[in-house]
Amino acid sequence: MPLFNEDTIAAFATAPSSGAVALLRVSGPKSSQAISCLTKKETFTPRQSVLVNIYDGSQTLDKALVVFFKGPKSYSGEDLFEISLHASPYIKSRILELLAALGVRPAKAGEFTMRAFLNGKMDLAQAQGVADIIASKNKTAHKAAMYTLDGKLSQKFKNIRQELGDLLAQMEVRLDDTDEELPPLNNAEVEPLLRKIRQEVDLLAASFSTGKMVKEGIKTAIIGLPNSGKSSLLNALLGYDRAIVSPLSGTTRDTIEAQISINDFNLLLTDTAGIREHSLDPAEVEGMRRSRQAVENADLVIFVKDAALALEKAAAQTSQILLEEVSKTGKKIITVLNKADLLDEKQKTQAANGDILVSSKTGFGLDLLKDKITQTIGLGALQEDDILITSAVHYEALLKASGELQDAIRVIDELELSAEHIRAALAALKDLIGETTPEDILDIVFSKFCVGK
Amino acid sequence: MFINDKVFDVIVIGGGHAGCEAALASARLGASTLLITQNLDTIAQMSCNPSIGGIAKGQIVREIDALGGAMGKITDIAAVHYHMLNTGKGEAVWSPRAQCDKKIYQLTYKKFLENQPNLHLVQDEVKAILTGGGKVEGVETLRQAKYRSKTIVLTPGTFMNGRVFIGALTFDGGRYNDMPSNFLTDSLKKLAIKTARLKTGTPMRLNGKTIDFSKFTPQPSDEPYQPMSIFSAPVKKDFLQCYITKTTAKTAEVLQEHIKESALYSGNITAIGPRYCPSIEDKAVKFPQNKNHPIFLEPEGFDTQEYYIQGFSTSLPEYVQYKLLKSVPGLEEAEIVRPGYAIEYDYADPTCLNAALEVKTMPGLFFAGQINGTTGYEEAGGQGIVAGINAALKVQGKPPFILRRDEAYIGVLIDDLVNKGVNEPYRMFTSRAEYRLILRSDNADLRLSKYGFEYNQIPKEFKTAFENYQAAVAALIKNPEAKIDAATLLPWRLEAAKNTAKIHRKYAGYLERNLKDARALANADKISIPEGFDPSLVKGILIETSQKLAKVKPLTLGQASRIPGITPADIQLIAVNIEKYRKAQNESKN
Repeated sequence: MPLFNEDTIAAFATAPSSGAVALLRVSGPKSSQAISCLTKKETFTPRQSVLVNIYDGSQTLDKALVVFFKGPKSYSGEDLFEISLHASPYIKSRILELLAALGVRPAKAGEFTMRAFLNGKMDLAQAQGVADIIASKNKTAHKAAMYTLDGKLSQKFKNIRQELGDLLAQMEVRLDDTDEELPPLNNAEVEPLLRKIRQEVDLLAASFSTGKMVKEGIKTAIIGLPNSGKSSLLNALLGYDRAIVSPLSGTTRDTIEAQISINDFNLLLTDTAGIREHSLDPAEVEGMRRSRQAVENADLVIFVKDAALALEKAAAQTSQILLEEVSKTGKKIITVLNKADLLDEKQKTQAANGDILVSSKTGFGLDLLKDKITQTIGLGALQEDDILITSAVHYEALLKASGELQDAIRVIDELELSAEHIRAALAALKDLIGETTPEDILDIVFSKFCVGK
Repeated sequence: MFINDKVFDVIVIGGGHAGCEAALASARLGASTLLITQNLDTIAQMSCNPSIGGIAKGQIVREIDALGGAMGKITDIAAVHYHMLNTGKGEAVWSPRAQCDKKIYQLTYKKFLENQPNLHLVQDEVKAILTGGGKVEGVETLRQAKYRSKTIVLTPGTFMNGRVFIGALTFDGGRYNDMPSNFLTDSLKKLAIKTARLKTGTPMRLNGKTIDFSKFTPQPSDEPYQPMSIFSAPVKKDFLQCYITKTTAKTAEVLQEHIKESALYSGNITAIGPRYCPSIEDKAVKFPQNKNHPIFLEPEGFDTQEYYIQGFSTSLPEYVQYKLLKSVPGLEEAEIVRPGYAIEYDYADPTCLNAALEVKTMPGLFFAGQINGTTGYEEAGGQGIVAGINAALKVQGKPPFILRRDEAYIGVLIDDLVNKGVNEPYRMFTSRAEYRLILRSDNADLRLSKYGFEYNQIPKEFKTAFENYQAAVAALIKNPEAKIDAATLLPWRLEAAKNTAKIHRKYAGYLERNLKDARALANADKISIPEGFDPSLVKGILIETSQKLAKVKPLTLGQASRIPGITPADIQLIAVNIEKYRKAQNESKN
């Protein structure tokens, strides 16, 4: 019954890939508590926007503008927070992870607006509009049943469902054993099994960050001083002239996006205008602003230096200043020394200094760069058989199930309580593994146990 | 022709465990009630086990008792043996059970019925339900008598086109030696109610003089014991013992050899039986590796030598039944006084009912018990009291009495029946209840007695004591040492209050979680689906969903959400459209 419960929910009000700012709404009884935890700020005055840090443990995840709306005077009619974040995929997915850990689950399709409607915050015409959207989404959702999921992932879910279902049946048959004839469960066998299942659930949950990147692509910004060879590097990575590359989204004046596959991962490359320290040309200033934006949005930054200038002190210094500026964003950075073909062997050793030497012209160093990209983003260890979670809803469900399984182990000696947690774990995983009804459990009971008078 | 001009408020057809509770309930609510049964001497007959209660069933008996019903009180009068089940597990799943003296049970029940004001009894067989103008008008009997009524509660048990099977032998019967009811199914078909066949069975009864009890493990009655009913005090009685043993490899051999002669495996019986009550031949076929199945000997009463042989339900020929007994140590010389048999009967698809147990297409007609596809005295009794109260409420023009899934096993039972239907005889299990830790045997009164008072099922003079009891439990949850005057609680007992408070403290976190989920359910159940609004026509829902909604016709949004396959998104759509419909209605009124 996700509709009428007392859960606190979160959802982005802005479209997935629009603009520089993402608006996150958090609604429900636990919202104040959760936002206080995230911002380390105890109270918020209603309807006052404040700039606060969003913390990921001791680290700052983002600076965000937060407005608190006290229920019922809010969009949903409940206590509600609007948080304006930088629209980086990492920040957006990470904040949902952090919220999930605080008991705030991602909202389901239409759920947010539904609350607004049920709390009388929306008139019927609006609600009907929402209903139409739900209706169209509903049909898609019906089609996207679990068997349409990726084969391996679906198999994994089926295994978890079967193991948990069988275990629950073992418990239920004993709770319902009127003849009192069945021997008690052997906890020395049940506990390791529960731990194993929990480990599988945890592994799936841990794959979320990576999975999201795999699904949406690794946003990579190519940054550097003007004329450092960024565009030629883009072309070299693509393996063909970018002029024939179809741009992904509206080509801005001076940033170009292209998609390539590196070691089986999708890279969304953004080639940017060069950034210099001072410029009076308004067009160039705007171009630089967009370059900085590309950095903000990126999962990964490839910082390009010009090998020909690397040994020139002044140019190297300018480049270093820019690199430091980029470093402050906390992004993962790979520094590349381009135009390596202009250097002799001695100069190469001298100039490299930990940078990756590349020649866009000859193709030298490109394979090394590609490996470095996957390695830096943390995908280097990814095996062909790895199973990745790509949906925040699934991630939250796995976290909840893991907690329930932990509790099931904790109270393993009290059968009726342990069973409650297994039931809750199965319920949490409903969207992933399908619903497990009492009838399903009874089917297992009667196929495996000779019980009854 | 009509016997007289009297128009009964309620006519109950059938005097089994459902019919008896129904008749008492409607009469207590002030409705003039007529109970028609084929045979007044088989009122509340225990056709199978001589026992009441068991896991999940014991909770139902306590619930019937908390609502003011008779089953628990009569059990306490007739009990020959008490046993609290599941005491090896947490208190939340303890379940009471009592073996009963079959004859005392019947006679006591008959006395209850006879002494009930507003209740009339007549021995006859109803052959047709009379309707007119889209509602019920009365019944017609085999003796060609007609009785007028505003409502009818139909509780025919296994009697509709009942057929008995013993090996190759088969004959008509609602129970062994009782005539079936061969006309009612046709009467229902005329009302476009869908019926189908189900099967159940019972083991042989043995003469105790021919059993060697020394070969069995005795199971003495609990000492001390907990009565089934709040209104019964524990008494000193010479309780009887039950006995337990196991079948042998030899039993398995006999079954192997004669399996083809079983009515179940010869093709004679095609209907589905309850998986929880498999026949011994079923057990042999489905679990061949398991050679030792438990066998329980249960006494049928104080004044009889008959024993019920639990675990030996069978439809094998009588001579094979003897061979089976020879394979069990202690039963080698046992004499069969009544053979085991299987029985096939008609039931009505319970999705034709609303949650008040009323036929959706025939206002005033209520079904309870095995006709709805259930098995068990307790399941029948629970439906009976709800149907009886609802029939009386209908006459009085009051809203129906509907128990939620978080309030009672009876609520789970009825909700499952009317929303999901059945494909085998439905027996209650605790695994069917999502709120198992709330639906306990110790707190049935705290959950349900408010309804018992509201619907005049419990005499008003107990009201103060009950309120004191509620207060006592609340006080003891806060402070186990709270001083309570036990005398102010009677017939509720201080010990029970202390026990419930203890359980509450132990399970506090879990109960809170159950309650939170339950509140969500209750909220969704508060949103009723208006009569003129058809959720199956809502734009945007799938055809399968639409068909399910059209079949079940849910009364509330919560009920709609519990139909298998209905998604939260469907529910959101329906919610919005209900609101739209209401608004349109209001505007057209103004």
